[in-house]
Amino acid sequence: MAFDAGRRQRAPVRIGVLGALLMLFCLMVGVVAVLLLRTDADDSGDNGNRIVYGLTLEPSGFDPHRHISSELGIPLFSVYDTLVYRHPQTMEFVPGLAERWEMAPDGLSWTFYLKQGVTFHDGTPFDAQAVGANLDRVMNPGIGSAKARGLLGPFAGYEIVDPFTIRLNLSEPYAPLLDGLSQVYLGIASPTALASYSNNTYQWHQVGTGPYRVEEIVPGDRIVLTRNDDYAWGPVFYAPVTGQSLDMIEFRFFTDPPTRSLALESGAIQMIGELLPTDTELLVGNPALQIFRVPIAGTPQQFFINTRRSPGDEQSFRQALLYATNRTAIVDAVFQGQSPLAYGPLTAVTPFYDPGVAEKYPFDPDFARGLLQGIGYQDTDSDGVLDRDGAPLELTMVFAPWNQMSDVAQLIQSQWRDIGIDVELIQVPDYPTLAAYAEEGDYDLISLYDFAVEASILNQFYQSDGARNWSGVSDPELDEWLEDAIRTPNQADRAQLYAAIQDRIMEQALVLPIRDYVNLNGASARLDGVIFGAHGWWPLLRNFQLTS
Amino acid sequence: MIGYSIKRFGSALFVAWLALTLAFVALRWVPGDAVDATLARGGASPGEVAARRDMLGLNDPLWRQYGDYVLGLVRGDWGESLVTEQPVAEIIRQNIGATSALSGAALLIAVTLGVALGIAASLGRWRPVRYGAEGLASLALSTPVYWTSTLAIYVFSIVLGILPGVGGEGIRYLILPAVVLGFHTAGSIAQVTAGSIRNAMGQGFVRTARAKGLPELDVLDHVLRVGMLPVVAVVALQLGFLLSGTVITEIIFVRRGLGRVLLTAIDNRDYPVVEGLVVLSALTYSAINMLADVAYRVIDPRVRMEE
Repeated sequence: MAFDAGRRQRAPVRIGVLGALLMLFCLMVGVVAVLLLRTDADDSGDNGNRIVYGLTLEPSGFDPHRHISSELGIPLFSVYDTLVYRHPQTMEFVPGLAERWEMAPDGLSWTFYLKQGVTFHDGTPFDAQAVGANLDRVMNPGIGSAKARGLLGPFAGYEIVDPFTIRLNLSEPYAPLLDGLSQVYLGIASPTALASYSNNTYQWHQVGTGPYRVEEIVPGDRIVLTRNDDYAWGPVFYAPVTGQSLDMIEFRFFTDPPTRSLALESGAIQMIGELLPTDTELLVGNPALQIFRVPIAGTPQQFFINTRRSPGDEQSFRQALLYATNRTAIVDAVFQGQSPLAYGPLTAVTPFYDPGVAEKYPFDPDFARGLLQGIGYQDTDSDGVLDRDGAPLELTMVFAPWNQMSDVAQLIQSQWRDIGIDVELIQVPDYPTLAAYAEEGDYDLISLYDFAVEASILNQFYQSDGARNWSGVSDPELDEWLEDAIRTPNQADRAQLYAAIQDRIMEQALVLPIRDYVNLNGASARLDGVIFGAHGWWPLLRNFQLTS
Repeated sequence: MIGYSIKRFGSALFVAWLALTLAFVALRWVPGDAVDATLARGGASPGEVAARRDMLGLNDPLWRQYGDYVLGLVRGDWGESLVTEQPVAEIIRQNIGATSALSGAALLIAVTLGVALGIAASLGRWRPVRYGAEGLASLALSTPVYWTSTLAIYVFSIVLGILPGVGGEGIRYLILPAVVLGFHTAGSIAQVTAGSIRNAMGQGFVRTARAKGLPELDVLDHVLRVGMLPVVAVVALQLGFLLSGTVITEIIFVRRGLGRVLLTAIDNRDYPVVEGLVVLSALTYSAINMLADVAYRVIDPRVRMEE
């Protein structure tokens, strides 16, 4: 028996480990070959004029009444109509779903006369009831509106005057109302669709009256729009449909910035925003592509200076920081010169921007040194860092990494070191962490900016009780001006107030503006008629044409 | 065997619970919550923010939030996203297919390529073959996924234009990301394979086999049988790397999938989504290791004997 093992017969066919590995390898080669030879179904089908449009972030939600991201408006601004529109060139208000409107002399009510013969994508007719249903929804605390509700300001209710007339009542006059009504967040949705889905699930089944209808939304993957051929009630700046108008637009998410230009170059997408400035430089020479630089209204990319603690509580000190900052060098180095320098709390394309701020703080390091000396800073121990009462001049600068902010911060750090200020940079990963710093107050400079065509965006930043008063300013006169500017409907009065406000903010040097925000869009050269709405972010897809 | 299975199952549940608890603590440690990330960012008034927080139960004491969540899980309720209010189970269902396809394809490539490279590096007849295979394995280990992904997109879909790179679905879109991810995972498989084959080649049984005149191919088979054992363990370990690798590849190649969902959820402090994914990956990981153990028993009689 002991010798049996030696004489054990081997099975006639034995695969063995090597054989198994070989089979695995063949299997893999086979699979890859099949895949390579197969042509994708969607390459062959004729979908008419179809483009893929890259979105740059996955919004935290897609319901414009509830959610806040600017990104959601890129598809949805063409799905909904708003009561009024801002003309993209003149910035004036033009009819949308309302053919005309009037404000009561006391400013406490606005009457909107609605267009007739408008239908939603699901066939529901549009009327004053529909507008009322939308206002009810936005004001319902249960839906947790992040933006839309705020745009209505002191909204106090509505009356349906007749089937095509609705009156909005306010508890106090509110000049920014029309601007709010012109934004996608107050787009008018089909009351039938709103009733058929829950407050939450409606976002995957949106129905508006706009030039494109939602075909499909797959969360985290894509949004598909198709043209609404019944559309005949668009605002004056919408172009008529031609054979080259887009039939279908598919949106996909390109959250990683460097992949955006790759996707554009490879032809995977025909349009995308928020390209990196360095990539844009390289794409400019590509004849298959075109670049659109769209300046965005609102606040510039900026740092608030903390006035609640030393040394930021001294005006001369804050002014010294502004004189010590070479913005031109920053914009050239970080943004390849593709952005205007910012001078004040509003960007130059924002209505009521006051050009007077541009003269205030030229780059002048010597003057900055003088100001610092004036308040007692000297380099007594010759270590290159200024000090006062034995304490070195050290600042903490907090910022999130969006929009190359860390490069900006590093340049500022080196520019200020030249005049003897030591800056510690703290980069936080996201908004919640940034807000936590703001709450703690443990910073000398902190970066935050936001977008709006309405100058009233300044209230949340510069009113003493503003939700994001991160400079900690408390100036009764400034409070009063900011308050008056949103109550006064008169444009000339508002212009005067906002000029005074911007002047005061810069005189007190509450903010260190760096550059006006510019959205760098890339598109295939085959796309014609590329144009954006007044708010800068949202394309007017109706006007896009695909040439062959 | 039954006792062993129960023990393994119990330890898998323990690992999942531990991972979940760590995720729960870590998420609440970092500043901010879902309401900060979504609502407060838009400059909503403090009153609205507080109301929303109340509605979502974020003001409850931590022990209660934890208890509610664990109890829910036990009942099979994964909760719903704080941001989109989609049920977490549904989010997972919608995305798991894409992620499984990617990691499955990458694993297939990784094992084939890794073992092939390992054999070439250890048994290759010519020195250039051995050095080349070893170099390739080191390259796979030392370069970041991020870099090779971008390079692969640039070369294959822009310069050569033969494969679609980003944003799309269908099988052709799977090739580049799966190859990139598989290539990186192959690195350590190759190194372990090579090392263990070299080790096996030096053992007595090889000399015995050759001495009794066994054909060289059969000797090789003996060697591989022994040499492949540690590879099974490494493959199971590498699956962990694969799961994290899908996060990066899904972002760069603009694919849908769980990795992408995870990243967005972390940014938004979307606790239930992150925690659900953590539990899922802990369970998957435990299950895979259990399978690896079984495989070990099948291919290595010595393990069976020790029991």
